[in-house]
Amino acid sequence: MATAETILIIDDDEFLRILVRAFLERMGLNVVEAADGAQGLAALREAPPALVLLDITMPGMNGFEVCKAIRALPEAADTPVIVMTSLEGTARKVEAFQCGAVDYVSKPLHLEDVEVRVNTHLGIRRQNLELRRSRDQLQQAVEDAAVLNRNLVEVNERLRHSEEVKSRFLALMRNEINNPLNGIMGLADLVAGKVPLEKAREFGAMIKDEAFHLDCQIQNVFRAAEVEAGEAAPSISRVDVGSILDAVVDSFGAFARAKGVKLTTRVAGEPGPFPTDGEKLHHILANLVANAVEASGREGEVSILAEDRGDRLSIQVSDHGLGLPEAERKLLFQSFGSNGFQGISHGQNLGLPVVKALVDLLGGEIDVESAPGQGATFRILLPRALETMEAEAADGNLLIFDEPQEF
Amino acid sequence: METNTGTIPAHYLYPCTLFAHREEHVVSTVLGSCVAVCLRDPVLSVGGINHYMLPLWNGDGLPTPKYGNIAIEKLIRTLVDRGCSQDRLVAKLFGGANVIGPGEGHYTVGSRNIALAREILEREGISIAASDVGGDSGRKVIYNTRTGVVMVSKLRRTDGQAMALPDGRPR
Repeated sequence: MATAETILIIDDDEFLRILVRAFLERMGLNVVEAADGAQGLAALREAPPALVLLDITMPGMNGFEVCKAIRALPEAADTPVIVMTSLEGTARKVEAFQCGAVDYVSKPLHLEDVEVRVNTHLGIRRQNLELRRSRDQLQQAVEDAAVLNRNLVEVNERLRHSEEVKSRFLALMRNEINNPLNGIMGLADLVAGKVPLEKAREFGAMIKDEAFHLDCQIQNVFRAAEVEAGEAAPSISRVDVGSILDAVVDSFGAFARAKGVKLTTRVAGEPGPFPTDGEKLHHILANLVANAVEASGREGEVSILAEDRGDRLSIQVSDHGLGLPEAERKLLFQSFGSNGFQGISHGQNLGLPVVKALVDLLGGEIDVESAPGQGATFRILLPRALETMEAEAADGNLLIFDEPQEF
Repeated sequence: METNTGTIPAHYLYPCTLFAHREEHVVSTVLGSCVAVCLRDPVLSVGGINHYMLPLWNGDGLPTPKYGNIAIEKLIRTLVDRGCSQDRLVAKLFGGANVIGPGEGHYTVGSRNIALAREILEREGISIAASDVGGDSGRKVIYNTRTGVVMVSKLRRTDGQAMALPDGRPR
């Protein structure tokens, strides 16, 4: 043992205490003395000893009462107590055990007897302590293992989820990017070979068409990555909504003409500049128009109606295509929809989730109205954005701040 | 969107976005029921902040930092990518005011946003050094990514009453 163990002697006989102290100290033990029960209990409370030698016949509290009191102390609940008694008779010894003593030595003391019993019970105590330490370690190990296991389950769950996302992403890539790319390469091969000029023109137009879709998809992939990373901060300026509509219609002109779809735009109300993120608005509308043209049959019509309602900008894109049943409408804005990719028009898979995320960024709302056979109308509502924090301060009738507090 | 105030570059943080930088920046944002979590590595003096609107991404749409679980995990990952150690990260938590919307019970979006932040930070082993959350009024938060100091001012109406800011409007 690194530090010597302490024995507490409780006995009213001073001569006996001195004798036992000398003997125990020669055994390499520390000794604390107490002349009666009250002193003993006080010493015990102050520093719990490794073992107590307790006299039975004392003035004040007798040994049985002291022993019971020791057992009642939480800090000494496991401290072994050996009683020293000159009383003959089994009854007294049994009473001592009932009070919580672990052993007894008879008075007059035989010091060899004391040595054997003290050593025995110190040994048992050490083993008990060792056992308890092992048990605590084991319990800790079990708890650690449980935590580790929980973490592993969590990591596994995340891995599984990321695997799922990856495989969906790959499926999307195959359908929406690889297919048009294969088309482009095949058509380009034909053009590179010997074909009549008329055919080459036709192929060229088809290549342009495929490349256009591919470009939309790739833009959406980049947008999705940017929005998901939280890096797509709006850049607010006063934009001319009419010009944005024209730019979108321009970029889809050839595509719409090829499909025989008529594109019309109308700006209602005061066509003043509206503060929002023009580039994001363009991207939103490009996706909605691409879907609408795609959904329209030949001789179909897609109309875009913008309306400045003062605090809000409303834009709706309507087609007269097949329309969407309710079940499908609910799935529209999900990314990599679980309904699979087959039979879904270009741009829909990543396009609408990107549109939804961009509308969120601009603080707006999007909804869709449709019935089977009745076409579909996508409507976005964007709030008038404040251009800067300074504008916010200037808008002081709304926003006044208290004195700042530091955290 | 970056403008200069003195020598420290300033950044206005929009809802659904996050910001983290190795260089010192002053980031400001305005919160109603939204919550902003500031995370900082005190050894590197590098910090970042997010601004989310709703607690949990339910799998619909893109997993964007509009949702707390995505926004906090993304911010941790971004800071680790910037060289921070996750073990050293310390959090400060702001916002989550009780903006009572239609059909909302006692457990508002604000309180759910706060509860989620506490839950995720505990799971990630990140302690919360300071917070100013809940209540009825919106907050303007100004965060220094290097010092980690956050200045918070409560929003008042001209009639002197505290008020909550309707979230989601870009400013």
